[in-house]
Amino acid sequence: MAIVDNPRTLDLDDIQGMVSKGYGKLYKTAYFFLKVDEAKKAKLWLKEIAPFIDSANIKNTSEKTLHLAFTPSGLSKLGLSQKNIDAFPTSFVEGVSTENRNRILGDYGDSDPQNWRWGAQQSDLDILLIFHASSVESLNAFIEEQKGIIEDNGGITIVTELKGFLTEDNKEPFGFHDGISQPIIKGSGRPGPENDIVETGEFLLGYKNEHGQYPFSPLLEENQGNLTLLADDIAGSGKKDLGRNGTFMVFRQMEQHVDKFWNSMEEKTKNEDGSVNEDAKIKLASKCIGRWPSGASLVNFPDADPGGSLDNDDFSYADHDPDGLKCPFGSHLRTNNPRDSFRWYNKEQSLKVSKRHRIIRRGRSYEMPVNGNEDKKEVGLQFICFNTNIELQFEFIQHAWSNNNQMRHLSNDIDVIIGVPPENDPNNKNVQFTVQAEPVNEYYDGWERFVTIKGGEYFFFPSISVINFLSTL
Amino acid sequence: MVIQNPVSLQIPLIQSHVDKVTEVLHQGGKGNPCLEEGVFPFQKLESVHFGRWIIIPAKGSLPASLFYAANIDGTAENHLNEIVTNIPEGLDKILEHCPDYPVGDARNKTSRLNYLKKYEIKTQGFYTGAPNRTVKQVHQEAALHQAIKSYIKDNKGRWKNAKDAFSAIKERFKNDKQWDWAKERYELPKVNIPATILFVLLMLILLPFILFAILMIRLFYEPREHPKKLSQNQIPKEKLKALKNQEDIIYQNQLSQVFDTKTGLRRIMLRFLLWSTTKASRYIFVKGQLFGTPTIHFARWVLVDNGKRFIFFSNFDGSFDEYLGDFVDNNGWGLNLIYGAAKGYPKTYFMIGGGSYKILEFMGWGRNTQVPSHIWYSAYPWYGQQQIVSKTILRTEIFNSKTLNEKEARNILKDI
Ligand code: HEM
Repeated sequence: MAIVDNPRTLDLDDIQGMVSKGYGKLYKTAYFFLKVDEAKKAKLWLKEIAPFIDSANIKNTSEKTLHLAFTPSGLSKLGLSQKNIDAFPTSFVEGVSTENRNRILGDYGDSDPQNWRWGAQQSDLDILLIFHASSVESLNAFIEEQKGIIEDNGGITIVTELKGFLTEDNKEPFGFHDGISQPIIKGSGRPGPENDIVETGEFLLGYKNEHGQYPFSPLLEENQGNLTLLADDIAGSGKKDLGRNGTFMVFRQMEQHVDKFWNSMEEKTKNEDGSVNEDAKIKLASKCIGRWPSGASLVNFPDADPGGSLDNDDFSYADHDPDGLKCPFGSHLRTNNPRDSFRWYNKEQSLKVSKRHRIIRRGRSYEMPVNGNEDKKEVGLQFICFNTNIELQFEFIQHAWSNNNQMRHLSNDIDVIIGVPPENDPNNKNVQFTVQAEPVNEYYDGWERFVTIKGGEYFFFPSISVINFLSTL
Repeated sequence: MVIQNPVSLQIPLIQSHVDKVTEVLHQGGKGNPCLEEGVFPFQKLESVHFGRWIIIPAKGSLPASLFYAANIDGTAENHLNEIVTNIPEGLDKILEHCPDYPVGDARNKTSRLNYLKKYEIKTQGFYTGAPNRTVKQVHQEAALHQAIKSYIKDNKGRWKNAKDAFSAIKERFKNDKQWDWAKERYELPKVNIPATILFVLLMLILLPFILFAILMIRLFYEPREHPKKLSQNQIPKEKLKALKNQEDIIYQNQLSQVFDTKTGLRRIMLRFLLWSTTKASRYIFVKGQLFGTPTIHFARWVLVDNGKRFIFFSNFDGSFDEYLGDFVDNNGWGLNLIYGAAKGYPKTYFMIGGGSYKILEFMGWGRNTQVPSHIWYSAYPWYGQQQIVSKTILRTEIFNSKTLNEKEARNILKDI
């Protein structure tokens, strides 16, 4: 696939950096959930830290970065009127957990939001503050400094602190190289594989999306605050646009059951005499993911892992693996982005569909003691993604693709990494994973869930000028 | 061969009973999806693929009415008979709220049947995703598919090539009495070529009139259409919530919409387009896709209240957003042609442009015109439309066909 130019047209200085930058060298992360106690003081704090928010400008190569995201209650407590909050998309206003969303996302049983440690509008989760730094020491120093500022301010309190990290080889807890496939925002100035360059409006409000239209953006229904900081609605309604250069952020804390994952792979691939078949075990796990542990694509390397650390994303399915013989149809990779081979559609139609359902992933691993016991560790993924339409992007991927047990000709397969079958499907205990093979397909049964949701929320991730605007309410 | 048919009943309501009958149907939300037997146990009707009871709300001078819709095997006559025979009590509980429903001694099988027949109306537009299959057949073929899969799994590594594997499977299943039903000859629905040619010819003959109509609509109708541009976010929150609370519970979902019909040429064109869609569905779209959309089990359009309003009902796989998005991706222009006749539809251009392509506005319109399906039933709540189609294909390959060469065998095996 051709690497194509992607001339810069966006005002990168106004966009929060995380949307377009992965901070691959800033290994350590902290997430603070803040509660607003006193609006007036909280706004002073916003004003004070806003200049330190990292922007999407690649010239900024700070060693420590700061980002901010808001829930509806946060916006409300800062003084945004109810009428203006109601102008936000329903998914954001309602939050990640409603009766219907729990079903769509598969949040039941162990993942029931009632058992979550944060989010689902259960606690005083108003503002999310995200830190990135290169080492534990620099992160800690950074956090201490910021905690000092928060304490001095007195208008906000820290409710919960979470941590996250990237390893140097960027492996997630199951042991697979993560963070490779990403869409590239059109207009960001970054060149990339043609099929990965996606219309700006899929990731930033105020620009046209893959439908050739402006995504639904929160417009100011009644004037308040310093309006000169806001852009006009580009769609021409005459209202001010709170969304432009901002986006929505999905955050889900996902515990990964690493032992269960590998035991299950081992059980399913044992030799006839009952001995462990190490190669077969890794191969099955890789088939489930859609890449080898090194990150090498199964399409480019169908037989064995070439090793090393590969972050090549320049591959597609239609020409090289139309029947899923290399990268199975049910693999995490292929279900979550079918690329140029969706259903039986031709390449062009497939790409059109795939590009309308992409997300920018900014997840990081975490490790935390279980109930304060330092010897027992809970590990997992702080899953974060950006999209302008949560229903048609994140939720669509999770529901229509990962949780869908009947993609293509598959009849009871889900994405075994993150898929969840419907709660009352009588067959939900018997989900399968099919490895397309010749002369006949191979079926693996008896899957448990390897991921449990521990927390989550939907956030508004505004532009830097809108953060400044919020401080003027 | 059994053909699926639509049954549509529009039954008047005693206007002061609308709330009461809503409660009877709604059953505290248990009616949709109707997984257990409730007030109207569809489970007792063998011929039903999908069924629903809704209330068409009163609007202006048009009164509220009840609407019953079912997609059935065989004839409407048989189906109505099945209802009055198998669920008379349930029927009474609902129809007690309708004017002149027989009471006391006058209420019996015949009088009930006559009452139903009196309100049967024509279904102008109808699409079947998996034509010519009975409910029973759908279930049987699913069981066969499952058994074949298990057999392949149990024999992992045994076959050297696809041909051997296919012969072994064939042998195994042909010789098992349990699957005797599958030996009965079954022809997959085929595109009806003579009918298609006639249909296309007719369209060509009518083309000048169609183009003229499009031009007239462009000149005299579209400029006067000023829909409210609502997105889903601007639909009253309570309404949206009530609708969503009944969605995404089983593999399929339902959509019931009620529209006010535009007048004049728009209304005439609507009748013509629904007629064409029905014909095209019977003769051309017989392989599981309606204009490329592969997730629709059944869909219907019915003119009600003397054409002043029309309804759209569908049974589909996936969520509301997925379904409407899929439709727009595949044939937004087809949606525009038909729904352009509905008041409030996003502005069209030359009947086919605009409209649904304004996807947010289109989805908002979709929600705004949606009404709750108080009772909604699926005979096979966990089967996707394409799976139903491909399981029939597998059955015919195993039981009807001759010996296959390697490539043909591989083509079948890869989809199991
Ligand atoms: C603990 C949970 C998860 C694990 C262990 C995991 C792991 C991975 C890995 C190893 C890759 C391949 C690396 C890459 O291509 O970047 C990947 C790709 C991907 N994942 Fe996940 N993931 C998880 C959750 C999710 C969730 C919740 C979603 C969205 C609903 C998601 C969406 C994707 C997408 C879109 C890709 C890229 C596919 C492509 O573009 O080809 N993942 N994931």
